[in-house]
Amino acid sequence: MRFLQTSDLHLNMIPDSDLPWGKDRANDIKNSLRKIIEKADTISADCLFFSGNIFHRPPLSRDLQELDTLFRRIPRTQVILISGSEDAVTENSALLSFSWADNVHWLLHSGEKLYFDEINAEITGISCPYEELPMELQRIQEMEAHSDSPLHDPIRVLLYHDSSREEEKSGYDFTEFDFDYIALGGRHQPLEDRAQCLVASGSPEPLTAEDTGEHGIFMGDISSITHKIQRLEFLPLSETRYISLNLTLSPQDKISELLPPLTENMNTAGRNNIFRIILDGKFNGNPVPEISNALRDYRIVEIQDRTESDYDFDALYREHPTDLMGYFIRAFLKPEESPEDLSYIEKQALHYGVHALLEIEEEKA
Amino acid sequence: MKIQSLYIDGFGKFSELSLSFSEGLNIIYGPNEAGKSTLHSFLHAMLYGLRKRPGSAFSKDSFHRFRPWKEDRRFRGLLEFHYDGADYLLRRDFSDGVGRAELFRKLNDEDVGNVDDIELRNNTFSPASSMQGSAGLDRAGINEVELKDVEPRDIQFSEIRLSNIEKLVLNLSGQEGYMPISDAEALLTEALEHFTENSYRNTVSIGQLKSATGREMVQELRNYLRSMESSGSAGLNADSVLSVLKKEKEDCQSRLVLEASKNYSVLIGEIRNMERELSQPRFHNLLPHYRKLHIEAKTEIQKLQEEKEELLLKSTQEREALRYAGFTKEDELSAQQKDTESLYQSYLSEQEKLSQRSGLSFFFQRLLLRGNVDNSRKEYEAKLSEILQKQLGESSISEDSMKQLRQRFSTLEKNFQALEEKDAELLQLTTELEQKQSEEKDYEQALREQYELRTEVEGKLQHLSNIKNRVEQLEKVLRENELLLQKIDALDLAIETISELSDRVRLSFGRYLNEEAGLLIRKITNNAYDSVWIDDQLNLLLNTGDGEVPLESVSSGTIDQIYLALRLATARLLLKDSKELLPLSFDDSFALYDEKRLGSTLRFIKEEYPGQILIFTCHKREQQLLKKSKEEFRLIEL
Repeated sequence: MRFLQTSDLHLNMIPDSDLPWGKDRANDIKNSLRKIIEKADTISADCLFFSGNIFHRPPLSRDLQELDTLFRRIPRTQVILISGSEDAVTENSALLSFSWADNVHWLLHSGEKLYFDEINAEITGISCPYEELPMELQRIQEMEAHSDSPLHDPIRVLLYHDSSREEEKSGYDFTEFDFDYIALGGRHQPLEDRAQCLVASGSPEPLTAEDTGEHGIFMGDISSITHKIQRLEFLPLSETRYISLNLTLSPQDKISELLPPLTENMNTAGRNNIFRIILDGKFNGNPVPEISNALRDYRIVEIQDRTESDYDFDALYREHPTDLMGYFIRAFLKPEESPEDLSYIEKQALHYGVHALLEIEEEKA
Repeated sequence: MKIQSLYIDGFGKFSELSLSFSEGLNIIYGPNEAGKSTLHSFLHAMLYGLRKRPGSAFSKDSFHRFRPWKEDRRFRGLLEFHYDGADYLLRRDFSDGVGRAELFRKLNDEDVGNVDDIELRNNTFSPASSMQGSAGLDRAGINEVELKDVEPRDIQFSEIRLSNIEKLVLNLSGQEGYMPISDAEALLTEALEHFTENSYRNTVSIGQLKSATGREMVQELRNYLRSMESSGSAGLNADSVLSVLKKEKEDCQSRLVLEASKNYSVLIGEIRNMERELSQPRFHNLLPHYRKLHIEAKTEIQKLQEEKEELLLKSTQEREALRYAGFTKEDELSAQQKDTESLYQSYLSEQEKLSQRSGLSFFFQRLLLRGNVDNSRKEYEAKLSEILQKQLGESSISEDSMKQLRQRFSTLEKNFQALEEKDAELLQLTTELEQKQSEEKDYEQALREQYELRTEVEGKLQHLSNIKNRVEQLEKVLRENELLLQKIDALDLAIETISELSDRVRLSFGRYLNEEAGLLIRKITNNAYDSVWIDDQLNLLLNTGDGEVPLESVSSGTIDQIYLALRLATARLLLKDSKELLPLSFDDSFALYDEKRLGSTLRFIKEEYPGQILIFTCHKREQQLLKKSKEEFRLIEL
């Protein structure tokens, strides 16, 4: 059986919606779906699996119509979809009454099974939080005991969406369960556990600043005889990445001098990528406005200012024991006390006050 | 701290100039352009360095003002001072624009060992000797300064043969009598009693009053006092600091998106309502359900219709058959049945009658009755035959045929009954059909409603999705607001603290200042004035015995004295807890004084300030007055 696997596309989502490229990213997500279908066509995939959260919100009938139209282009590929945490089937859902093309199957109930004779594969779809999975599987097993099971031995695939909404969960243990392959959904980041035949494709397009690294889909071949994975390959799809860059400042730094190497870095990585700048080190004053302005032509999702001020409060106090500067410092710090002992607000207040006092002293000098 | 001597290797117009000072009062006399201000500035530069702070006008000015104009001229100096029982040598080279301080502690005679490379000669100077520079200067690489020998006095000045600075560093080790101090800045700061440059310049280093007119002087005084009062140092003005902080707070406040919070709760409420609404049973997607029912109903109707048609056909056929048999209604048949029976009975009885009348009587009866009897019998016969003919196809009347006829009638009767049943069934079917058809209509209606409902639900879901998108955006704004509010809180805390401190400093400092200053003012003005009162508007009022006089209204000379008194008071206040007093220096401060005032002022200063005093002047008056009053002082002539 040859298959393509994806999940968590979150169609109709606008990532970074308050920023100028939000709409572009939404289009990228739409296009990623087209790319996936083209790929399925190119490699003549038997199956195309969607492990949940295909849509970012409960889909409307016109959303399903668009999907159906796309899937009709690959009539030889069986498209199997399950719901996730965001596109679950509710009593008022359009999914209940939509009639799909013959090759499209959206499993409406957790535990539903499909059997495909041509490839001798049995696909089970489950959508629930990970803690409830054992119970769910048990329930399915009990149901199965009553129905007549096929005497042949199909490839058993599980499409599982972990709807517990916990990003980057680890510690999945599927060893007890009797599946040849588990296509995991409910994550933005890919995960590959060959030992357990457990693969999460992650979102084909990164959606938030935490989704760093490559994004794409998985392609694989499972032997119909041995039921083992003969081939498993990650296919990068997204042309845009979220990249975190660190910039360490020191008090004497001129920001205009620090920027060229940073921008060169960003240019080399590619300007279509989305950057998060993390500032640390010691710096007196607010470096963010200048940096933000200089980088306004880049895609900057966030500038985090984790710098701390460089003031040597002891030295300052010694220089100004009897004036406002000294009194001010003493108001916050006892002798030998460190700024780390202060609350966040106090620390900030100390910084702002000293900064202003120094500014005025500078002016007068 | 007491300044013992200084050596200018190069600074401004001076090169290779050494001066030594006494512990008490020093008059440094030189005509105009002799370089007194330069000396004053040199002193300042040695104590505080030429601080190269970017954007600081002073350092730029000083550096360029005093840098020797010739390229190969050195730009450095030495200063010896006494502090806390020890003697120190301070050295700075200003050529790098900074003039880092190098400090050495002079060791006692016992500690001084063999000296090979450096000649240390103890020399002192009397006021009579003038420092004109040096003889025997060797310009080729090594500079040497030889100072004239004079009689030893209290202060010792060590002669140092100067090589270039590096050699000096190497040579001035412990054995040679100088121990380098590792943290020069720290010790220097301590020796300066932690006076910042600002404090120094505004208290013990007294220049000429820059402004000449009384009003300007008063303004300057007021400015001075304002910053002194509020912050304990002339340099830091609490109001300016507060305005910087307040401006930053305003900037933060302007970036707050105030409506965000409100919009957010409104939208969250709307989301909750919509979700509750959409979860109502009436919005459930019942399309599959009704579709199924509709199809079932249609199928059922189809079936019923077919049944009905079939039945109708059969029933019509049978009715036709009965009509052909001559009956449209059952009662017609019953009637004919009855008729037939009575006809037959009548026929039979007539037949009977006929056979009974045989012979004459029959002959005569026949003659008499003639036709009647025979006629009725014939009638009966005819009718009966007709019926028989119709029903059986033969007209002979016999018991057999009658039997057959009766059977036929019975069959026909059964047919009628069957027809009745069919009719009943047909009726039932029709009713059922109507019911099902109305059901079908109902389901069609339900489906229509479901489609409308679906449109409504999808519209609502779309709206819900839009709202949720806006909420996501707002969440980001709210997070940013939160950070801004935190920043505003911190700024508020800083503002509060500074305001509170400023008040406290003003109150405590101001009070002491008023007290101290009062004493001094009384003295310096010869009790003309009691004290100066600084009100909360920072207006200055002089207290006379009779009342208060605004400072503007007294002479500029008096204002000058008040200024002096205040500076002295401040200096004393700041040095209250110190080990030693800093040297007080006056740069041509008494130029405008008349003799009498000058005399009392000099006396005043000497009495009120037990520390070292350096008076730079271009007049001879000071030295003359002091000589006359037999005050002890040292004269240094440039």
